[in-house]
Amino acid sequence: MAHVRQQIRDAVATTLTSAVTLVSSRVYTTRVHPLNEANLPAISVYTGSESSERYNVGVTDINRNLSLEIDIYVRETGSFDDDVDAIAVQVEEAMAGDFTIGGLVKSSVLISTAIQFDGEADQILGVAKLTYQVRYVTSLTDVETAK
Amino acid sequence: MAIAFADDLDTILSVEEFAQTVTYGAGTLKGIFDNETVPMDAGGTAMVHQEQPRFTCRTTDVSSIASGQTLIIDSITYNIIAWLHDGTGVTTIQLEKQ
Repeated sequence: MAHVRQQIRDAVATTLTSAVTLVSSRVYTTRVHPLNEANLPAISVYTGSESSERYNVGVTDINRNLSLEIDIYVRETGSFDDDVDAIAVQVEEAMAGDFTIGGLVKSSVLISTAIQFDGEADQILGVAKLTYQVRYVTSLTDVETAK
Repeated sequence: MAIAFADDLDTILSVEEFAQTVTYGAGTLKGIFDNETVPMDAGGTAMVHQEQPRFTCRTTDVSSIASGQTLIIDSITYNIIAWLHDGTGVTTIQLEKQ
């Protein structure tokens, strides 16, 4: 087994791979190496910061709040902004359709969307960063099993 | 002593040296085409490597330059997006591949 955080990341990537047809299965987890023309449009799933606290005194469970980021990359000329939003539609609806991420989490809620564009290259690059706040619970002694 | 910049420019923009002739609207234009691959950052965690096509030519040869005009270079059509005049007679044109 792996850390529940990894299980969440992998489950989201699996869901998006099948649901977001506009990126033709180009869904990565924690992509840090540069993308290029052949890789786009694409999505990469990242698990960022996480805060946690003990559930209750006397209880050995940890309540965790994870920042899950989904980056959408688009390279386009004319309709770049529409294309970013079209992929966002598929991502948001896929995430909403699996609110508990396969039962691994208590909730997953979109808390912010940041969209930026860069027009310095041969085609316009658009990136949307969707940030979900994901709440999940593990025990203190077993972080490979979601509760 | 004056620098013979005009002569240098003639040499640089000679098709016998570094330049090439491209299609500009209904006519032609001489200049130097560069298409460097550069890392672009638009806010994602990963960078994106993209080509950055630029065409450098005499400012006087593009006195009526405007957005939406096209250059055809090696059979590829590029839209003119923006341009920079350097103030000494040289213009660099930013291109978008179609």
